Amino acid sequence: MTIVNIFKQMKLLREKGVLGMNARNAEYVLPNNERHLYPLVDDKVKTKQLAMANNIPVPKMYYVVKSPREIKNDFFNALKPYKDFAIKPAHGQCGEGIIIVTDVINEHYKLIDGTRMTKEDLSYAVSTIMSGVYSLGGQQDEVLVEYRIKFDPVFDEITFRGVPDIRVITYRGVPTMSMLRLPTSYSNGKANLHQDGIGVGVNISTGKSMKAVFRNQIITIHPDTFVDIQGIQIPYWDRILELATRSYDMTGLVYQGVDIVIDKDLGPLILELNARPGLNIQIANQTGIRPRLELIDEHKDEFTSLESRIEFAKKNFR
Amino acid sequence: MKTNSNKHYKLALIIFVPSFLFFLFKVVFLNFPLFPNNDAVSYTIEAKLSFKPKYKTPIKVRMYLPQSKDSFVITDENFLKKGAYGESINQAGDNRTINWTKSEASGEQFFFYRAVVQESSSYSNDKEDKAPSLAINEFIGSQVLAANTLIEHAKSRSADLESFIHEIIKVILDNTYEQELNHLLEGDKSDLKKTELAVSLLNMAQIPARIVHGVELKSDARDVKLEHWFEVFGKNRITSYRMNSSNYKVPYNFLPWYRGKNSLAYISGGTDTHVGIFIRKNIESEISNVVSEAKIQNPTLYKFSLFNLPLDMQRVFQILLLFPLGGIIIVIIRNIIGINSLGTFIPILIAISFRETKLFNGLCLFSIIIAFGLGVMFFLDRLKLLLVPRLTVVLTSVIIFILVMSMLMHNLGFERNVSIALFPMIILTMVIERLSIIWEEQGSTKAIKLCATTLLVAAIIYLIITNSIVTHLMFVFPELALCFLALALSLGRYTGYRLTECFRFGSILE
Repeated sequence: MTIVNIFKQMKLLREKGVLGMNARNAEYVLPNNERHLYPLVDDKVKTKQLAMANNIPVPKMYYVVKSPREIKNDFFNALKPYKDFAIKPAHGQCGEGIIIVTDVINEHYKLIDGTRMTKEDLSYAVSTIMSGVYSLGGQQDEVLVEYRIKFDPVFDEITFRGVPDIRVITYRGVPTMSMLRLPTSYSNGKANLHQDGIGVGVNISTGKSMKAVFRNQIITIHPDTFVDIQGIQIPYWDRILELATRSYDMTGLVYQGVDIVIDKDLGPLILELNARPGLNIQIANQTGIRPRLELIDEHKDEFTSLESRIEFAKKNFR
Repeated sequence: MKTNSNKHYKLALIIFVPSFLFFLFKVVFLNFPLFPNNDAVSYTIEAKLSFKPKYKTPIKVRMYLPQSKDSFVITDENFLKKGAYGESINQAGDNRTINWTKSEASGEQFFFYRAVVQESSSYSNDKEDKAPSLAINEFIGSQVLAANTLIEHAKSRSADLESFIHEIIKVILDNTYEQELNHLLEGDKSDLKKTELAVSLLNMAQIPARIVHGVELKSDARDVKLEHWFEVFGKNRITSYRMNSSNYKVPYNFLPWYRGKNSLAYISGGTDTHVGIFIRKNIESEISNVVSEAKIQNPTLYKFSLFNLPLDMQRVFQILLLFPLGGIIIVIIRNIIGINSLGTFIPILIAISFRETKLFNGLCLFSIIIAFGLGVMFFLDRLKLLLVPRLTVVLTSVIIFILVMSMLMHNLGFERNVSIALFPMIILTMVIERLSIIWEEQGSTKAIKLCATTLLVAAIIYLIITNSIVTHLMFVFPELALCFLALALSLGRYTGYRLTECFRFGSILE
């Protein structure tokens, strides 16, 4: 690719309204998202407490390990009533450091990928998380134990191990763009696009899945299950939009990523929030996000209520 | 929301304009050179002498000084000392000495000697040294026998003076007469002792010779060791030889400091004597005139120039001033090109440490250390250690690994540049830690890729900051750092696409 081509490419990207990393940071994240609000979303324990106070459904919190000496007794005592749970670093990013236990047999812990952990393995893993391996800047971390999501069967046929989730980007509290993220056999149970997950664009108006992108290429069927990915109606779509919109009122972050999972018993739950959501959602939707953001800026005075914001999104973003 | 504030541009301009004007002023009016001049080579040598005085004891310090002689000219020299000392410079035999005296002193004492030495093409030896009188036989008892064996051996294999000297050097360096040598060297296998032995043997064979101590003039060196060689007085000229099996000739860049058997500095009334020698190739060689003119005309200006600082500080700033440049390169690589590396400034630190090891060695060393560290990390994983102790174990084993490697290299004869002193070990350990997590979480390909891009970025930065013109500019014109600051400010809100994003978002355009 010659230099001329590169400039041509950049011009095309600009015309398509694709938001680059620099522009996202300099024009949307830095001027809008106030620094002091970041801890609300960077710390999963805080996010959860805030959500519960605002009546927003989240996976139930079983226990928080705050200091290493709790690991030996308190932690395992707290786990006793549960047969399955998820263990997460409070400050983790991109799903790093998450351990999902699906069954407990005689103090042996069966993990989602089929491997087993002894009690010692688990307490070592927890203390590793606590020492800050996964947190930004390596500061002391806390460990969260919560309800393990049993995802809705609607995604059974298009998921290969792991949890599919829905990412909605909200700008000024308006759902702007959304995608469904599906794990594949290549992604190790993770649903992130850059870790070989599948990103499926979701029509905000209807909640139906559109084109899908896998390894930067457009696909129509799941590479593991060979099932058509397009045109799937995501259940509880209005509820999902409502949760995404309400989480803006809860945190006050103007440009925010909301990760939602659908539990087969509890319905949509907010998994986590992100103050610097990634740009891959544009690839999944095969369109740039900038025109939508600018449209929202133009109409920002019209958003008087929660309903008006959802209404605006459903009308304009399809 | 688009912020229309252009404050950062204004600030950048406010900083850029005066610093750039100052740069131009220095170039145009003060004639500071834009390019390094390699023709007129001059070196600044600095000897720092320190010792602890004994309680209430008169202090007498004697140190040898180099002199304008042979192919070297001392163009400038000065002395610095702490406290009021009596000072006198004497010519004692072949040598020039400086003496400092004081009735008593307390606290650590320092003396600095700084000289600018220039290589001159004129080989005028106006003051020809007289041949030293042959030293009285220095060997005792059975040593005489051993010495005779060596001399006989050399004589039997030589035809003239020249070849005799070669044979003497050979016989000392070789191990054919191991027993005799051991006896004569008294277990001391240093270069100094061997040179001394050569001189003694020559003297014993009625050939006038004397030992010379000096330094090798090279571009940048701290804690320089004294080199030793010897001069032989032929019929009408003096020839120098070095105890080196491959080449007996003394390199032209060896500056003779003093001659004779004494040590460089002698102190009575003090303990813990230490002499440190620094050498720096002068960038200012060509501008020394300019600077000294500026010194007279504009003393304040000179006061704020880097050349006024002690040499070791100058060396530090020479390196520090490369950081702003490295920072700008990182900004460009990350925000405009879009290549991510481990950590933000880790590539700069790696690049700076490459200065010591040279690029290829550095890259190899770095990869080997990282690979070793990862190995240790994965092994430790089974032991289930907590993070900080685990990191400490990795750090320690990495350092021991380097130690063993250096010793191996040394013994195998790869002396060249295993100087890893500046290698940022702690940062390396963090890199290993970070990498091992990425390895486990995102797979080996990702980790290796990231490691490779980090090394690539470090190599790019290295190639830029070691360019002699760049180093010269940054050191002679420190105000350029402010220009880079302004540049960084103006790039601070760059919102264009990164180059790599053209590929990343390519599928949207299809």
